[in-house]
Amino acid sequence: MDVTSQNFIPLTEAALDDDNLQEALKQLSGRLAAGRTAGVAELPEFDQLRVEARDIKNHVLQHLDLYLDAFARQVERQGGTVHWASDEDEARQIVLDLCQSVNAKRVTKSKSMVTEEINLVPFLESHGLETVETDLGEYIIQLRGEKPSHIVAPAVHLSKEQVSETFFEHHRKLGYNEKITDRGALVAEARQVLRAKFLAADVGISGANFLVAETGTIVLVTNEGNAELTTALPNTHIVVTGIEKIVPTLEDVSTFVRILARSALGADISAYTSFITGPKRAGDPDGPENFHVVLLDNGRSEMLGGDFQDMLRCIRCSACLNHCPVYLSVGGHAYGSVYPGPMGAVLTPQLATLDASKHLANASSLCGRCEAVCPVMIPLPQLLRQWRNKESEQKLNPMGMRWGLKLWAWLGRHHTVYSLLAVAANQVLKRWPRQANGFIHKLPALAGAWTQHRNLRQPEQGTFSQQYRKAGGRRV
Amino acid sequence: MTKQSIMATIRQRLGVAGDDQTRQQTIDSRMALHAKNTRPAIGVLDGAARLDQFACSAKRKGASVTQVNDIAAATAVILATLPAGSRLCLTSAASATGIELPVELIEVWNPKTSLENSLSTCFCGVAESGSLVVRSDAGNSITQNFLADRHFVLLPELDILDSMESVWSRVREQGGMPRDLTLVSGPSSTGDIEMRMETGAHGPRELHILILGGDG
Repeated sequence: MDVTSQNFIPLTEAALDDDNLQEALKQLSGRLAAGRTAGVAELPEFDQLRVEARDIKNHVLQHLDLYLDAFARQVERQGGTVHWASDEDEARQIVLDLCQSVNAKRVTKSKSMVTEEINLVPFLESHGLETVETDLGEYIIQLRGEKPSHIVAPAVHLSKEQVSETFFEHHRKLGYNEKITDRGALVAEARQVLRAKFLAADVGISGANFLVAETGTIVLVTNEGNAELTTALPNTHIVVTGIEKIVPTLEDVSTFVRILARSALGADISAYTSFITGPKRAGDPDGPENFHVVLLDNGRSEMLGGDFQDMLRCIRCSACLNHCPVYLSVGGHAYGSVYPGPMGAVLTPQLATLDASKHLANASSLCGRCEAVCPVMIPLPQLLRQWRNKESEQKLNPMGMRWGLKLWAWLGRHHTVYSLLAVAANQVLKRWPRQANGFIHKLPALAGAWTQHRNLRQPEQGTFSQQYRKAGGRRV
Repeated sequence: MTKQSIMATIRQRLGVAGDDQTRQQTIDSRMALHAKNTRPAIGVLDGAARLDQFACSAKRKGASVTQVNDIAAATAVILATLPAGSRLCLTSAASATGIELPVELIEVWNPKTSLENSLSTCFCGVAESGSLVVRSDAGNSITQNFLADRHFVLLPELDILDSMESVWSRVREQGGMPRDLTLVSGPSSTGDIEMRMETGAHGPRELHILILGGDG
């Protein structure tokens, strides 16, 4: 997977200065996180469902080979074809070959993070296929040549004025000569433009939220209805999805339907939840005659049985992004990966390289909100720590930092030395020239790293241990 | 080739053998059992409480819900809702209900075009989430549920089931999954511009549910 996560630090600085983005992030947190809180409060059984969802996924991962086999057999029994792709190159080539085999010229695509992961749309376009994103957010960023900044709301970083500019620029040639800024009118214009694309498409490409092994069914969740038109109108439907999306039965997927929309935005269910099983049946008045499923590995199988297996439970709901103080400060683009936020910081080093994405695991205060809201109970802070450990083991962080941490660890184990140094620092800081309100604004050398971004309160009394003893506390 | 190598990696990482019969039996019996997981209290309601849950939940999502005694009353509601000069396209299953509409209001639809108004039946309703279950089959063009601006759906009260789990039992009794089975929960909407919900993204802007009374 292509990433620009190396630039995380300069990108975060730019993001913090971007007023448009900061306003958008405020809306995101206010609406999605608050929506989730309200939606979860309405369902007393929510925590029980989370436990069951976690257990279903764990059971599937332990039997992943067999469930994949069962799923593939069912798809083929229904007249569909299953293709296996070990990496993004293979997956893209399979999709292109399938499009070319039916002489496709026009392709519509519904929202799918896996197709973002493999950068599918630019690849198909470079081979002469008109490929149109049909999710409104994805369509907007496709016109702008941008990547999604959120896994559920890809254009969340944009204001309606920016969308208006983009539509005016691209729809003028279609006869839309008026610049509109009303949200409803923008939605209506996109509906008209995309309706023509839906009706003319030769191939529809979708992802899958879940794969049901029992029946060979793929499950798609949308609010717009774009996945339904993408998959029902063209003569060929290609599904591109990850091997970890399997659940055993329709009863099991029902549990996930109950927690997915609630975790994302608080709704009990999305407007459309489609269960698609194979190609058009004899007698059906509509539906595609060709049905293909491309199962992508791309590093997922390597995560089994290791430190990051828990991450394979992820259902891409975005709750961890919507509750992350770092994501909510810098937005998705700063991460330089199509998977941002806590889930992205864990997944990206696995799908790209740790060297290219080593900043991401460090961009966390490990506050734990992500784990607290995760519907499949992924221990995200623990997984971030594991990447930090690996970064250190592979000597990818600066030598000064590694030695500094070693020194800190040594001090932590040697109480007397630690206390002596704490007393000395306390004495120095007490005597430091005070600037205003009892705060120190600037310290020299290494300590300057603290005062570069914040003030340090000047101590008025002794160290904590000294005060503790003075107050009559005993050593325990 | 690729399949074998992916499978080999999975088995090696899990430390299992491909021909382990115990593991195969574990998954086969799980898939055959169809055991239900926890269903919320709102997913196991009966009688009037179930009907009430369905109607409240569907209305909350922006659908209109009208209870009518018979198909004639349903027709009256449709005629009152259709804008003047507007025509309606029926699925063959909807025509087969015996509904009688003035012939000048009926639209013969060309499947490669858009659609203003559509009337369809559904497989069943789900009370828990206020959803309609539509499906593709010989009498039901699935795209008619998604292409129309205004969508009318006939739902016999007896077909309102408590939860998704009951839908799956009915699907299995009736020969298994169709190509497309969709839970429709309210009109089409999007929050993709500034996180504000707008209706009528790609699917119907209006969803009108007509519940046909007890023996209708």
